[in-house]
Amino acid sequence: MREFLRFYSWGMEVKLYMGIYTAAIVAFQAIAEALQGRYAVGVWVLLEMLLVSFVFAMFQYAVLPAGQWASKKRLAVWALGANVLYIGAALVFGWFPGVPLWGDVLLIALLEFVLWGIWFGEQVACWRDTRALNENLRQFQQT
Amino acid sequence: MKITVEHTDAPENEVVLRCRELDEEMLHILSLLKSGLQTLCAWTEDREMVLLQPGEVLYAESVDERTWLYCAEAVWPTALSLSELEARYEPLGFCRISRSMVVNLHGIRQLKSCPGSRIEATMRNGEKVVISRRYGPLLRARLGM
Repeated sequence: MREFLRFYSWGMEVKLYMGIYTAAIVAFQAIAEALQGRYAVGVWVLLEMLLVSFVFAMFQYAVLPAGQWASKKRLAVWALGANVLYIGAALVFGWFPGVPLWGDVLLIALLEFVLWGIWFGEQVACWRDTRALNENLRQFQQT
Repeated sequence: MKITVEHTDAPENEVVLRCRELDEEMLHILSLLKSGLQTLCAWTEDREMVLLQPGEVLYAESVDERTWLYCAEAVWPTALSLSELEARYEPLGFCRISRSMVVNLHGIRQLKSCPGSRIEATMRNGEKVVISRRYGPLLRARLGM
């Protein structure tokens, strides 16, 4: 039962991040296609993006398990892994066809920005929680 | 250990402990009796009793099956277990924060939320202790969150 619960907990976290990353990469693909006058994304491309995001979500779970976001070394491995996996998959599977070189550079910059955004989101959540914790602690200590 | 209860006409209730020496069992009994008086019973290395106000204790830690009381400038062993400390002094602000620690919420200077649902507490003496993921919700509930 304990093993099943661990697996279930693992599945919940991996699926959450897989969904977020898939939505982001599909959105970028859709924007790139729309800017070139095409208004469809192939089913195989969607499945490839889902698969790559699933692999990255598992990688993130292993490299940055809950509580390890503060480790700079783990954070660097996570960011490097994201770059290798998504840029590598884009090259191997031929995502973003017809995008000029400056567009590729822009997409890579967006990837870095998204990764920074994920890290920053964790920090903001912690700052807000820290403030709430200390406000409640002061109230508790005064009563 | 032999336990005898005598019914007498004595004006005040009295507990007398007779023993050859103060062993762990007797220290534990003494600690429980004293803790009923809103004081915490600790011991020096020479087995001299030290009575502490719960407010003096910043946190308690269990190390190698012994419980230690950490005050601002001293550390005292006690015969009470963490569970007993938690149960007896909960109304005074004692709260379990990990399997091996009970913290006095009044001894915390500030809290810091860390990624992964962990919480870091800085005590009044500057020491830092970590509230584990498992006990984080308990702390939040105690703080009324």
